[in-house]
Amino acid sequence: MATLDLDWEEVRDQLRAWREDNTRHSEEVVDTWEHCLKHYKTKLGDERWMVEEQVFVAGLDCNRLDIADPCLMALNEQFPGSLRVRKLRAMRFEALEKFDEAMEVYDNIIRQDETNSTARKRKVAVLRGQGRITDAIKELTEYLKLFMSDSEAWQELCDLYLKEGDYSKAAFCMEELILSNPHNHLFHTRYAEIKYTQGGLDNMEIARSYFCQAAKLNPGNVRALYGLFMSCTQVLSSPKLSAQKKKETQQLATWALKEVSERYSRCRTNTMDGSKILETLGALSITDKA
Amino acid sequence: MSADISLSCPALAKILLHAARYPQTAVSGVVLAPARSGGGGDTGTPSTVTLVDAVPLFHLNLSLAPMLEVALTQIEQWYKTEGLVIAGYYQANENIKDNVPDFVALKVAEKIAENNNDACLIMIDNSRLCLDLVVAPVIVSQLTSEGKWKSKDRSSVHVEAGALDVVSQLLQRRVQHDVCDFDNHLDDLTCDWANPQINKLLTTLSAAAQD
Repeated sequence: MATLDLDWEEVRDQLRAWREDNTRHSEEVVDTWEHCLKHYKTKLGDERWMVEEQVFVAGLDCNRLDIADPCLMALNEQFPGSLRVRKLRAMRFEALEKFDEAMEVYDNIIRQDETNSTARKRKVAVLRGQGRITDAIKELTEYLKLFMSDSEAWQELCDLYLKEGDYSKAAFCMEELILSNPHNHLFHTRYAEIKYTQGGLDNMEIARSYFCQAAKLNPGNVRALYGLFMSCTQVLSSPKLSAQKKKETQQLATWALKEVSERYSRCRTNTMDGSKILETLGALSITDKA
Repeated sequence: MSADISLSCPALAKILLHAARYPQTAVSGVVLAPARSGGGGDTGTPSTVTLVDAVPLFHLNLSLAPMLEVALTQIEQWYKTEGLVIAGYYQANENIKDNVPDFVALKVAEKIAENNNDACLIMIDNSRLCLDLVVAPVIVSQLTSEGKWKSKDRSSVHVEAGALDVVSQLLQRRVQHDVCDFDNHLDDLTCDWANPQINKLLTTLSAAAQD
């Protein structure tokens, strides 16, 4: 394994970066721990406990209980009675599909500490893991009544509504996110995509403006550019459009396509010719324009 | 509609690698087959539909339309020159025990079927995906004359000889991290959703196996 050559300090820094970004690299975490960092854990100082927690969760993710269990034992020894460690024990139940036991532990934690948001969110995760999406939605909406500024929770709720096909409620979640994060181009893009999917001239015009805003916030956002072009094209196909609006929309569409083509040519890879997209657009539209 | 389906090695490989790359989310993509010569006037029963390749599409928000439309348009355009058409849609659900097509899968597959009578809907059987494949972990469905998707039984779904071994090898070697889908492409235009590197790897492996 190539990881044997890695310097343990490099591994430690990499794990720290992943913790800070909150990104999921479970396989790599488990590999680097097993083949390198595990042997240097005493050198980690205070950081050791965060690493043990990170490795524990990664181990559960990869179904490597042989990796995860020793970490849990070490954490339990170091922090007896800790609610944070108790949550990890519940996650272990989840990994073993012992959902009822997991829920019990989470309820216990909440009883002891009403302000504990992570346990409440884990309950939603348990419901989602069981495929009980409507229950998960209910639980999450209750949570959001108490913790209404939790962006992560709003994003999760949006995701759950999309799974159920409830586009209007998903759009509402994105609206909340845009209100509290007006400069986040990704939220604008997601909102526009949902509006586009809902279909109809009004939604299409809203989609167009939000794609536009996203492209303005981040000119490198290819989804926004493509979305802008697509929504303009859809708007143009409506018979209710005034001549002035038609001209503006056409200009916007042309600009968006030009931007996309430019980005492709800058990459110098399998160059997709932007004009070809224009030709074949009609055939595969899936939105209900009813 | 009563045609047998044959999955080539590249198609099966890309589908399963895509699913393996994102174990925590649902993934979707399309499969390609040679264009039917003779057009829509065929009255004879087609013998076998060979799915020669696959294009992984999304691992985020499968149910949103705009990027899907862009993807389908680009793919159709790109493969037209090679004589291939979009012949079906595949999806792996988020939950390991769930292999039932949801409303997204049904909608997209129906749309594809409008342009292609033999279109198939492939659901990945998540629980059967493993490092040592004995059977292709897919459930293939086609439209009946009443417009319902009916899953075909195992005997009408064929897999290219040796494909299961090759794909198992790829999974063991963690090649899934090299697969690019359309979502990756939108985030970084240099990612090629046609995955020529996978095709090349497969040719090398099959050649080696024949030696």
